[in-house]
Amino acid sequence: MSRHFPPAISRLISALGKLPGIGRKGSQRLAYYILGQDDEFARELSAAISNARDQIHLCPICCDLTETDPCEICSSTQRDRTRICVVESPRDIASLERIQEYNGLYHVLHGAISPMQDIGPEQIKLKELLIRLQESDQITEVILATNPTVEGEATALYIARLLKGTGIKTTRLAHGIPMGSDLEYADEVTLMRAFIGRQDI
Amino acid sequence: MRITAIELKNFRNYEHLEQDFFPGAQILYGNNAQGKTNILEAIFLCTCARSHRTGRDSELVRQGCDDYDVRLEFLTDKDRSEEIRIHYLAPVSNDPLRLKPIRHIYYNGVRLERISDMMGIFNAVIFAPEDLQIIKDGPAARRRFLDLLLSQIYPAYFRDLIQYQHLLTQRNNLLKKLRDLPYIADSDSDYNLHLEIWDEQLSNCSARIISRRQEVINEIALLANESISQITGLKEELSMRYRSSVPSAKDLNREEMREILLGKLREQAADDILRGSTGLGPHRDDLILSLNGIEVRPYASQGQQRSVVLALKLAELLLLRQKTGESPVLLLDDVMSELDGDRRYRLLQTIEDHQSFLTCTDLSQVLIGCNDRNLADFIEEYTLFNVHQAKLTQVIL
Repeated sequence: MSRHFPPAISRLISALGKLPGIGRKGSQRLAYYILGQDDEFARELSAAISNARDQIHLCPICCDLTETDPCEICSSTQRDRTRICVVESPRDIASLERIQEYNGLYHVLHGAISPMQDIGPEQIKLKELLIRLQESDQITEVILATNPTVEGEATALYIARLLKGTGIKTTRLAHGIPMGSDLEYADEVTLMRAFIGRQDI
Repeated sequence: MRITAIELKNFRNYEHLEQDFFPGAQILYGNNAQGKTNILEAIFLCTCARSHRTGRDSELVRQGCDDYDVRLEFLTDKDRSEEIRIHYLAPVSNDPLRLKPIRHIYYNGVRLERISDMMGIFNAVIFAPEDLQIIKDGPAARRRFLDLLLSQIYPAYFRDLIQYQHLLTQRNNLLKKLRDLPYIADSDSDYNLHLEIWDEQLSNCSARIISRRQEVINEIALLANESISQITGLKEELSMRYRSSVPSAKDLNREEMREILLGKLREQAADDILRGSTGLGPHRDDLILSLNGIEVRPYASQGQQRSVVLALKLAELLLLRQKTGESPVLLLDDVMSELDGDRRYRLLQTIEDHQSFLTCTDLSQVLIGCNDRNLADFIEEYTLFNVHQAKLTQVIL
């Protein structure tokens, strides 16, 4: 029933299995693939991982992952410095940048409030955001682009409540049906929210 | 809808079973502990991924095995051929990637991401000795009855339930933290802000759940009330009332309910923090059943309780058919022996429009002894199966 691997392979399989989106079979496949390549491949892969780990750090302003200080977006003179878009993870910035609709600044929280995982407002990069807002008088709008999960929603609400009365406008991303999909396949909660948030055309 | 075939692998006492089924009644007879109920259990599992007997999947795995597989082929009333498959892998302690149980659900060969996606695909109503728990047990059993019915009718309701449970866990965790680490909250307003971000969402979700429950209770009460007099042959009045954390919830719309809930959560926050859990909401509500104005649970006789539970289940069946436009499959687990002639008669009346699965130890329980009428009077087609040591043999009398 149980598979018997040499200990080194077993360690590699469990290490790969910890990666997101990699399951039991996937991690075995990856491990055997890596071991099936020449020495160079494994050396380059591990060097790439540890180099990235060494060189990448958090931007002191927006907390995005960066190689420069501050990051490209924070140091750009082309960006609209009156708006900050708040996201949960650095990957979200990449998604938002791809749409080329938004030209403002970002702030990465590195998580969302979740008491069951012992993550409170102090455990995410929220203080950094508040200090940023205090120190700058340019910012007029904070766009809350946390995930549409209960934790993302709670975090957005928390920030919105904190900013109430500061004169800074807070907005939340709308919920809707993905383009190119069928209404039939949309889940009911999304459909209901999209229905409630319907607009004049 | 009707089941055309089932395949079981390492499920309960079945090592491997492939069996075709037919329109009408499928009568599974045999001695005790041969695997009759296990067939019904496997079928019911395909409605909601939960057994009617246990909440633990590991109990369903055949002894000495580490996974089970249940595959159900069925035909909808619109003549579409569909398939549900549930594959469960029990945890394996020496495999680091299988420390947690894994359950995969497939609909027509495509893996579903969430359990909620399977709700409403295949519907069955089960009549089992365990049904009496709806009346005798605590409020949780009655909520489960309502929740399962609602989830089969409205898959969105099931998602709300899951979200509610998730929000509740978050809030309860926070309450314990606020209790044990008072320094988090320096001032009252800070206190409130921490809770408010959960209460806002919780009250929203609660209002949706409560209004759906209210709605289904109104509908099922009418149907159950029609059945009860037919079952007992007396003029009886069965009434159902939702006892909610929101007073007079039935007169409120969803938005008003949400506001009241939010206010109450705020009001009771201090108590909740002391207790470390949330004291009000749909997870504390109950369904109160009364027969002729008298509450059933504490005061009705054993016989009355049986009648009420049968009326409830029949109403569930009718409502499910009304709302989904499909006739659910009927699963009758050894109920014939427990019912007297009149109740048995009423139950058999309903099975003619459905495919049904009946288990019994003695064929005479279903074939005769029902007001001098036999099963053939109620139903044109039936197939007999002898169940012996996890094998089904079709029998022709």
